[in-house]
Amino acid sequence: MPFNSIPFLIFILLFFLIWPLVKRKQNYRYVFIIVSSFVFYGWWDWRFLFLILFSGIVDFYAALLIQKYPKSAKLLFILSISVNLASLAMFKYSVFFAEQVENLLGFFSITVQLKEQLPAFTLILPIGISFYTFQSMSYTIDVYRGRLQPTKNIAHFFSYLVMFPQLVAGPIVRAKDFLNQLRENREVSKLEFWNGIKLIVIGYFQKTVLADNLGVIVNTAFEGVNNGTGLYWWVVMICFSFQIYFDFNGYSQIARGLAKLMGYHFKMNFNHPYLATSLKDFWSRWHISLSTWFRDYVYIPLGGSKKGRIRAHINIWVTMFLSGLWHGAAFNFVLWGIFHGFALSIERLSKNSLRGIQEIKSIRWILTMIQVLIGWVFFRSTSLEQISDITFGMFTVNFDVSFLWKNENVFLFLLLALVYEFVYFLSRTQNKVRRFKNNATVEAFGYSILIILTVFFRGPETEFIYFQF
Amino acid sequence: MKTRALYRFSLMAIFVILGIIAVGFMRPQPISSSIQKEKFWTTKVHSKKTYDVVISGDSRVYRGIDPSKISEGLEGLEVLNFGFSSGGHNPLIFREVEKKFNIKAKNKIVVLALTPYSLTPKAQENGHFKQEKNRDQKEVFLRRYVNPALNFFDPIKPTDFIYANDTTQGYYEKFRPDGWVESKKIPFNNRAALKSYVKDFENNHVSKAVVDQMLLQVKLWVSQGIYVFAIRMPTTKEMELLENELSGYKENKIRNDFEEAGGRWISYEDRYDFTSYDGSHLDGESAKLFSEYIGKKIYSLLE
Repeated sequence: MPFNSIPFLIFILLFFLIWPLVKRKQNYRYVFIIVSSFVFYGWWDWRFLFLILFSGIVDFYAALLIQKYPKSAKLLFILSISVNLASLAMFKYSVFFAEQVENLLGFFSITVQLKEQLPAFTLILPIGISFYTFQSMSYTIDVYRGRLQPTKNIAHFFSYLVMFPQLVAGPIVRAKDFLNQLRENREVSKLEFWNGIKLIVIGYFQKTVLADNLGVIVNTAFEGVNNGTGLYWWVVMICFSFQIYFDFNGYSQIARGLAKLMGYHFKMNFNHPYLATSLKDFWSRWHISLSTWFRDYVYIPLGGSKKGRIRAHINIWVTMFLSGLWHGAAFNFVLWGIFHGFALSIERLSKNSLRGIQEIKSIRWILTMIQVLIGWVFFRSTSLEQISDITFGMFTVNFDVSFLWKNENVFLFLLLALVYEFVYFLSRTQNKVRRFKNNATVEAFGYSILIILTVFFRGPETEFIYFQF
Repeated sequence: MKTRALYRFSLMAIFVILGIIAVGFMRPQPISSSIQKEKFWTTKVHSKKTYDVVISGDSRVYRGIDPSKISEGLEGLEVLNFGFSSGGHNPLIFREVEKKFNIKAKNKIVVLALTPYSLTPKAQENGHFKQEKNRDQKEVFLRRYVNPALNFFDPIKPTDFIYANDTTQGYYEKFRPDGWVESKKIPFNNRAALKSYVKDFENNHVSKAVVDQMLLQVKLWVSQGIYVFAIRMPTTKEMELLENELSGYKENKIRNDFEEAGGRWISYEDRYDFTSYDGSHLDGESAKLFSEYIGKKIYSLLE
């Protein structure tokens, strides 16, 4: 059930009508969250609820047994991780891996039909599988590392795992941050209520007005209709960079807002990534819940930057490769991860040698954005041929701007997106702007404008991009 | 701060209500409402309403025939425009046509719009019809009953404000409950569609198998007491020449075979007097004129 649908509006209205009645009693609260979340998820395909149940039950009991039998903890831990990874491999990667094996054997003139042998259910990607699997895995890992006491109440665990605002597209919430919150009956203060409403308004505005309208030119361009070169592709990629940011951040903001109205707190998932002045900075602002997940459960366990220079680079590459693979079972995502891995390495190596240039913030920002934009070409493309065509198109000198007049609406929304981010930038750097924005009437008026724009200027309805991951 | 938070929320709510009312009433109407379009197609396929006259065919039908004008010529008989994009004539559609008939109707009438494309193998895929037919029931319900109630909130584009008074470029469409889409396009270009039709007829010609199957159905309907009429929808002279040349459509032969099967062919003079905004489809005014003629013609043929 997507947030930008009428069934969801009805669902959430009913949810918040019942929520105050059940939230005072712990088990009622847990059960209500689980049932609501199952309705929310099952609206798409109820059969895949069994997958979440299976994955959750394995991790819940694995964590209990890890604590009860410390001597067998390692074995239980490996078992739990293996089940999660196997589930991901089966539902998300089996077709991709089968294709690669077929291609590899085909290279040696051996023909095999692995893909056709796969069961039909592996052809459907369960929505949000990467999110809830990582969330579930972080629980067992933290218990195994002794950083978290496992809960003995299965309803408590499942209300954490399946909580609907973040179930299908994050943010990836850690058990150590959230299980305690769920235990308490948290009263929502007036300020929290207002902050929750603001987050929801921002989320819907970002998704439906900015992302969906900017997506129009991106979709046309990637379908290969009337494409230009040079400036055209740079503008298209800027549109895509805003589309994916506002699409995903919009979802995260709505999720955070809904959680706030329930009395809970999810951490920020994006922190204006296009204001980053280095790739390292970008990754500390982009999809923070996933970046920190990979940092804590992959990069640091591999040794991080503490095992020598070369090892640090290898650790970055491995982490970014896995991050790319997490996004999708396709070469373009893997290449996107590898591209960022190498770019991060180059940035690290050039830190001292290009100190003169690096000190000029605006140049650092431009260089970072160019790398990010090229990275998005890998992310959005559907074939190696398309990647090479678009990259070639971007570096072809062509300043023809006639395409702007055919896409006036899109460019008005691009302008709106730029103004929106610029106002945030000003409010961070200029006290006067910050004070003006915080004025009660100005703030109320500003959010009412966002709502009116969402109501009347929403773009063609599309699914959230990150649902596919 | 707590009271200020509530104050801000209340103020926002007031601004939103005032703003929505103001924008909602002052907004320019979209040249083609997406909500009305969705309601139109789901209703056309999923509505249980029945009719005396059903007109079947492709986009030239749903844009070019106004059932209310035909109804005027037929003393108020209920008429449905059952045209779909790239629609073909085959048993899938014939069964649907039959379901649309009022079983108590004294005169059941089918009008088949036999355009060249509608008799090609590609048209028999009936992709548009199937897409609507196979639509999820939840979605059908939303499109027919829930979304239209929110018509006030139909999305608009910034340029709708900038360019007013019929200068916005694009398809102007009014979706009528009887299956007609009153259409026009800006800029007007009565050669625009020619190129795409050349492509449409590449390796895709009028099929004997499709025609034979259609004729069999005509015989069956006639034997059941159903009146079956056929027309070749008017278009531009250039388009008609192109279709005659590329599609393999032999109008005289098809007409003779159709009449031998018991059907009645509706012919009309001044076939190039109608206006097409894109070189294929009739504009709203021409559709009305043509439909008025069809209504009267059917009436005279029934007598």
